[in-house]
Amino acid sequence: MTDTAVAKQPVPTARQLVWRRRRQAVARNWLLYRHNRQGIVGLGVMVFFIVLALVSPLLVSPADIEPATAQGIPNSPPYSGYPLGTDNFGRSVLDLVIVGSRISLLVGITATLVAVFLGATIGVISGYYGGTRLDTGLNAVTNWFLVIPWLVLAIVLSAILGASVWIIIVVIGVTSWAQPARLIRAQALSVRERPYVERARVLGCSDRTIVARHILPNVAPVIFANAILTVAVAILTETTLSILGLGDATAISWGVVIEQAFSAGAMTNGYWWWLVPPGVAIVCVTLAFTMCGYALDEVLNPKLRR
Amino acid sequence: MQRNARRLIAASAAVLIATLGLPLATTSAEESSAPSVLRVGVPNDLTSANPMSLRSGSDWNVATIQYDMMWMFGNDDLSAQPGLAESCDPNEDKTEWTCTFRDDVLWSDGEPFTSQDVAFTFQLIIDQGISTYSGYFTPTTTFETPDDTTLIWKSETPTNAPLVPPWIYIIPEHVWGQYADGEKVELKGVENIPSVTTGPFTLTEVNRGQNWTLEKNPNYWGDEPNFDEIRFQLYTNQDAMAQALKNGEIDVATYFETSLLPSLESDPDITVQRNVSDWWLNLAFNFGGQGPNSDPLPALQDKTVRTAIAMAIDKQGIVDKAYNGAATPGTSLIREVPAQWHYDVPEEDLIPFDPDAANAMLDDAGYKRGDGGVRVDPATGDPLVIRMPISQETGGALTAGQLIVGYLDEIGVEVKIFPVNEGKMYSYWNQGDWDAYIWYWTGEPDPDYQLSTLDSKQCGNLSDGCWSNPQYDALFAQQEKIVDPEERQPVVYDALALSYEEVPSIALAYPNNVEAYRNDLVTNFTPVPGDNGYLIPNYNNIGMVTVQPASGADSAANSSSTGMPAWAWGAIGAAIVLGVVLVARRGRRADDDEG
Repeated sequence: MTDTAVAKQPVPTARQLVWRRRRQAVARNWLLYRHNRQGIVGLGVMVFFIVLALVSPLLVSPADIEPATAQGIPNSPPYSGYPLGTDNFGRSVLDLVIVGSRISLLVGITATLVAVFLGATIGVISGYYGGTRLDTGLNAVTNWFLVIPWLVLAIVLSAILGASVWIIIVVIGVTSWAQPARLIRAQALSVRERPYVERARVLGCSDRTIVARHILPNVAPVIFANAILTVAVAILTETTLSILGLGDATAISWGVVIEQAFSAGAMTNGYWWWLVPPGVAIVCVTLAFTMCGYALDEVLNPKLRR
Repeated sequence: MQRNARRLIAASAAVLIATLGLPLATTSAEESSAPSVLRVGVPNDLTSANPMSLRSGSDWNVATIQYDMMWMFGNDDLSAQPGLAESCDPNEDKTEWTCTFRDDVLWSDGEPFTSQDVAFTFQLIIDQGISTYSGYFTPTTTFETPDDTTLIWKSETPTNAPLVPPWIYIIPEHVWGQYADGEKVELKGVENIPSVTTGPFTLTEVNRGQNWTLEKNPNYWGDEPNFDEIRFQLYTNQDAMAQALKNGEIDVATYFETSLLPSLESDPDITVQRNVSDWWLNLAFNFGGQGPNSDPLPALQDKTVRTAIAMAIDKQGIVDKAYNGAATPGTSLIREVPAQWHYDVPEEDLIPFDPDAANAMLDDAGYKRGDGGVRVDPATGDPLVIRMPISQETGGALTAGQLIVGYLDEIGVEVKIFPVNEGKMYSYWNQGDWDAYIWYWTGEPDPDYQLSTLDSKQCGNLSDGCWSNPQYDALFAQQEKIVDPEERQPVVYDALALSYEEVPSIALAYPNNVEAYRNDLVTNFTPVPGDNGYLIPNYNNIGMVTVQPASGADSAANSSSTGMPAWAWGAIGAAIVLGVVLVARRGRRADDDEG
């Protein structure tokens, strides 16, 4: 503040400075990310499916995916107008895959928000108060969720709570926050010890200010990279629960399409066109999110940078 | 251990012989020391071999094979035919029946069978209150056995029960007598393996969750069975059961899902039996009065609404899409078999599939379309929205429900389906917070039980939705009292006609039960009832006596499957490998970060 050379120009406020620095950081990271081939491919596929999910109501009319009004020949291999064949109601499998992207991505992304919110809150608090009794308590809870088999927990929860999309989201969120919490706690523990945090404390900042101003912004990259990876896991979890018959059978997701194919004997009857497309879609999307996550990890984590 | 090992060797030998394509004729089987085995695939486990506590389909199958009833169900029409009993003659007012039993029957352990065993079984059921069977006896029923072949069945009120016939498996007093005075829980827990029975086979070995074996009863009073053993193999996965049949690992399998029909029918070595099933798919309306949270849609009290709903449902569409065509569209409360009690609704009384007429009916009745095309009840101002729980475990129910959502959308009735498990269905029924549900009904050949489910006295007991109609109650009470089947039939038909016209529930479909056998390995089943009956015994055990190895049973190793093309399997495999690799990598990465 005593630098007179700077004083001649319009003085940027602290806020402006911060944002400028953040913009620069984003630009720098984007530059790094752009040169990561895996990241770009993943991003492309991810954007494709997200756009597909958003515009799916324009591509598929509700009547075509309504069991009672579908016009196709039931259980038919691909033919004109039905490039991926039909299911037992005569619905186009292509339509189902397009419509299914909506629920699958909705569940994946929303459940991730739940998991990351829980994980970040618990991780940051636990990390910031590292070593205290609060930390020990939160850690115990985190450990408990880490060691119980998530699939069993998810099955039990969804069996008790019932099967609706929102419950599935909560179930996935509740079963997958522990790992992010762990990572975020570790990061928060290390950030906590840095000089600027100590300085802020000496200046008399409250815990809340320190967490909001200094800890959170510095663990944000970890949270973000982890969130992207968690989406992939959440989509797979939703698929798993649906295939096990624990999903919401009334909401068409890729997992539900596969489950219906299974229960209609698609494996034994050889209806490959009904099973393969949703499976491929799931693989593509989870792969895309995973690739993005890895790429982000490399960009944001200096230790991994090549 | 030793025994198991030998059994294993025998089984492997049988499979080996079968796969090598050697003939498996009866003669060669008798000459060799290996017993001839009928291998049966089933999708549900044997939960109890105790005739006093039968639960799953397999329990009933096994009990039917081992035990005899007093009479035998007739092969064609399920009427009472001579079995253990040879005759039963009533006195004038049908309060005393004198039944004569065969004198040449031995239990499988060599003890003689007498009418005392029958009296014991019946008395045990009355004393212990075994609800599965106790409906056959009036409160004043007593039994006397003046000699070893005679049973006198007395009741103060007239009864027709001895000729229904009572579907009760007769058990030996010298084995079960010790449990007669004990607790019901203790009786129901009795395993009795190896069992003592009068039927053609006895249960000798049970491996829960895997398989169970019945061996020929050397003392069987009827014709000698052609197979020495029947081995049931449990397949919890339907696809696996279909593959096992195709590969010749089993000779016959039952309770197939209809979705597997295309695959089964495409195999020339497999003969498919679509039999008239003993259950059907039912849509019941809730009329309120049952459950603490009972709040059914008031508009459902209006017969016009219920009829319009029935008219909007394309039952043939449900048959085609939910059952692959292996079903008959439902009409009245009692399925097509036995034919004597199935009411064939006359053409002019049939509620047709006609959404346009249904729409016109609702328009005329003042149900105008409101927001989003959903009709509004003029009396309450509420939209016609139906909460419909669906039993997911009931075959075809969910598919039918998904179709019904669309069918009723056409007439401006919104349906919200809730696919749930069986336990949750009971909870809905208990609570009463539903408007209509899709579940199944099953009953015995006699119509009394089925008719009772709509009797208003059954509210909170057997009734689905507490429908109440004095005229129906009167007809039900009337048919119960008539002893002569000929006289009873018109009254039963009147009750069925009324319950069809008033639409307290809708019989959506009578699905077929799909069984299939390897026609190159086994032959000469006796389906009951009639040509479209069950192969694996459901009513009587004749089929297990007549079935025999197919002459010239050759290549069982026909493993040509019509599954997916190889590249599709390859793609799936690759996808799985990729997924595993990703997950593994992810796990490692996460660990690195943490460290």
